[in-house]
Amino acid sequence: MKRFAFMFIGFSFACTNPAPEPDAKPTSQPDKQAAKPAADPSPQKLVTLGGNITETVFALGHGAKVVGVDLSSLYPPEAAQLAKVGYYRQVSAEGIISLAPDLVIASASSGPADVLKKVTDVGIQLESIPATKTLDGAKARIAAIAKILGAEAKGQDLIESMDEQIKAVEPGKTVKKVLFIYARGAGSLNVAGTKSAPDEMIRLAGGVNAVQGYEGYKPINSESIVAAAPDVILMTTRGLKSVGGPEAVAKLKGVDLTPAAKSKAIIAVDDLLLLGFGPRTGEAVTDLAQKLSSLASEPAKR
Amino acid sequence: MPRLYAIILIVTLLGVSLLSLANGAMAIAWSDVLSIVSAELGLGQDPAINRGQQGVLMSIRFPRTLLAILVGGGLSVAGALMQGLFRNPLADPGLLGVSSGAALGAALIIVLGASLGLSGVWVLPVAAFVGAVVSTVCVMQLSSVGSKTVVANMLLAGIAINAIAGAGTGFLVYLADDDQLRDLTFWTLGSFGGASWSDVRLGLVLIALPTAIALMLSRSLNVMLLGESAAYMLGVHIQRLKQIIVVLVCVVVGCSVALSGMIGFVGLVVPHLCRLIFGPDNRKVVPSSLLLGATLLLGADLVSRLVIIPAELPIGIVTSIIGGPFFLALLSTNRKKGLW
Amino acid sequence: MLEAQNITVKIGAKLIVDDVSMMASPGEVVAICGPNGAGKSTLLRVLSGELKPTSGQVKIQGKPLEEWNSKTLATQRALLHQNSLLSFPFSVREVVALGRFPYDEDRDHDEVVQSCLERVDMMTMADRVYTTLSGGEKQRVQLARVLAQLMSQDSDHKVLLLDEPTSALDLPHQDATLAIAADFARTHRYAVAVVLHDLNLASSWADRILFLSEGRLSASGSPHQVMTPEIIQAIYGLDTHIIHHPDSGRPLVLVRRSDFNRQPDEHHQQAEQTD
Repeated sequence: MKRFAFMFIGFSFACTNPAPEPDAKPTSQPDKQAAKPAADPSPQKLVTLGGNITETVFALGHGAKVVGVDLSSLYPPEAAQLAKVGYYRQVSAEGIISLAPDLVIASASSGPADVLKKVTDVGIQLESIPATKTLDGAKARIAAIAKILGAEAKGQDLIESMDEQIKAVEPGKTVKKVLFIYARGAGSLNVAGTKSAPDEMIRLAGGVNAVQGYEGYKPINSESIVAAAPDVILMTTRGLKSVGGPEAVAKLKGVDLTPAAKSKAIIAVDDLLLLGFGPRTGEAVTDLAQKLSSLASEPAKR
Repeated sequence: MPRLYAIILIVTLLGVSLLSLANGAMAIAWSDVLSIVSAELGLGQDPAINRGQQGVLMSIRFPRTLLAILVGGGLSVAGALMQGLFRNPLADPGLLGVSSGAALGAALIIVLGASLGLSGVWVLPVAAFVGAVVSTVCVMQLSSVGSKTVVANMLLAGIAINAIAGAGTGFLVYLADDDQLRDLTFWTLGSFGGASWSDVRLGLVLIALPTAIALMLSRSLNVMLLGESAAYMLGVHIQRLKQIIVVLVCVVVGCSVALSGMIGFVGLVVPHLCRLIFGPDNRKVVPSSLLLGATLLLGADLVSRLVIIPAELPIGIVTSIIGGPFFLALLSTNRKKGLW
Repeated sequence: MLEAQNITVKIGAKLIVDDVSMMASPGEVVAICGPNGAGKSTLLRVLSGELKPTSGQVKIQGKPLEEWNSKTLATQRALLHQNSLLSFPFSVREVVALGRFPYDEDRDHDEVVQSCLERVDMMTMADRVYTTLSGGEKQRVQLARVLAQLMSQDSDHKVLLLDEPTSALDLPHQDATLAIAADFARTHRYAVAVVLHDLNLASSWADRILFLSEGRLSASGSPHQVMTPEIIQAIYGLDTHIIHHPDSGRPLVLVRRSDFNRQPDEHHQQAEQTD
């Protein structure tokens, strides 16, 4: 019985709460095609696997060519309406092939590898794009995809405006300590350390990660959170909702004793926007910086 | 087994196999299916064949169909063997810790594989199989008294090993990042999406062969139901039989899990269903479980591929959604008849 | 022919069977009796080959058990257990047919199954589901199965072992079961060894009775020889009367009840007073 419950919960999460791609951890890498035929100069039908990949293709103006996406491709809204070939880590080979794409642009962390191989075996080209969750990674992704689509000029535009937006972020008077919690319901709470997507975003927005002691995500540890004493709690919108809103978050063990909880400084940003490191990264940084500095005016009760 | 039933089951299996080959996200007309197959057999090339269709039929649908038949038949026969061994119609291979051991092996690779420097498409299936074998060996060791295997102890040992393996897997789930967690979840739900011809070849050795051996044990299995002492009196080598059953179940289920992830429910429901329909004689239950299990799993795979085109539903969900209520219905009608 | 020489069974430090030697010849019914825990069932398990004795040897048809091929042995000796563990819904007919396991499948078992069912008076229930039967009915089906096990071309001189076969049976069927065993002994020259609690049944049907007490063979002989108050007192610690069956003359045991020597009137008076 427990196994079935886990299965259903697990799958419903996969469907309804597709996480933006996390930090690049080397997992199943799809093999590059063994004998690469000459690249199609202008692919007309695309399948994109990965939320930020899809976003980038649309941002470059080639969204009309996309015939299929994965389940985590939720932005822009037109993308969310397209045919879904599965979750990017568990795609359907026949599904992709049946859409008869000229090119599949896949995040490096999509898979499984043997399924993607079936797609390339049939002669469909697949371009693998690195999944690094950093600003540089975002820019590299835009450049790489732009090159594939022959939209280098537009790509350059996107990169430059991203740089401008980030440069325009003014550091606030005080550098706020921000703690990022990735939540999947109140029972599953992970805190982001260094070398993670939230860490980078916080830094770009002029804050500092309250957690410096480890890399990647770790399950919540109430004592460490109190010790970290964050001024702000940052979450994704879905994560915040799954815990039950800011009031519920403020009551979490450990969180309740932080300055953030006391001054009710709990903010949330859309998952894909905050952690996707897609073309809207600049926008996301600006947005986050604004939210952080607007909290500066509230006196922190110690 | 009555000829008529055997023919019906075989014909149904063939029918569902043909449906499986002809249907999917990609539309392939029957005539094209035939042309592609005859081309493969060297009976002349049809230049009009679309490479995409050929690829889909030969490297996706064919191996997938064959693997589903192997796994469906194998798991069902393994379930029948377990129900004979434990003399309980609700026993399933999971009691030996095979599935939880395999899950632990898979979880280890999914979560720690990268940090352990292990990569390659075969690492996960091998780890799952090794996990299954190690679990079973532990259960056998724990349930031996002297040189004898005590079935009652096996049950307890299985519970213990399941708990330990479950704890290990749970800990790995705790450590897992989001991607790994989803990989693990999908693995737990099972899929034939990655089925390849080498999988099928492996399945022929590690699933088909043991299953054939199991068919030959039907008569002994019947006698075992009288109890071990009575079976001994009738000339059954009970220790040897128990050990053979455990080995067969371990290999068949371990291989199935390694190749297609965890597909629960089949090993429990199919033989039980066959017993309800055909009676408890294992000379009918085992072969009918083979055919019915293969057909049902193939049907479930077909459903999983058609229901949310072009994506696929994990097959474990399909087997549970369809199998569960159907099984309940059958149970309640048979309870009224005074059988179980 | 069943022979047991110097059988000793020691489990841990406990001596369950202590140097017991016995024999059951073709045509003989030997009853093994004794108090609870005397080692009767253990002895029977050694005789059947299921349990290896700590020391001693069992021979069937003159050949030691270890030298028998298990399937061939199954055609020569069979054991009727006290309880059956079968909980699957086989039909009565199918259960009896299970007894044919030692024989090749293509031989015609239906006749054998039929005649065995007739022998135990279960023909009318041949198509019933075994699990729906009463305890006594199940026992008769098991007996039929055991008989079916031993039926073969050379159908004589088999060894039939029965472990308290009458516990769940009603009076007529208790008698009938032992009558069947005795009949097979007489007509087919079976060697029969039966563990029985009921001394009177043993006396009525056995040619010889072996009394086991604390693992040792305490007495052995014909019913007339061993069913005496002295021997029964020594083994069971009970005072008994021995009477003789009006028809067969076999000794029957009646436990003495000294406190039952009451006048009928006294009993009624006492009852009225307590009302």
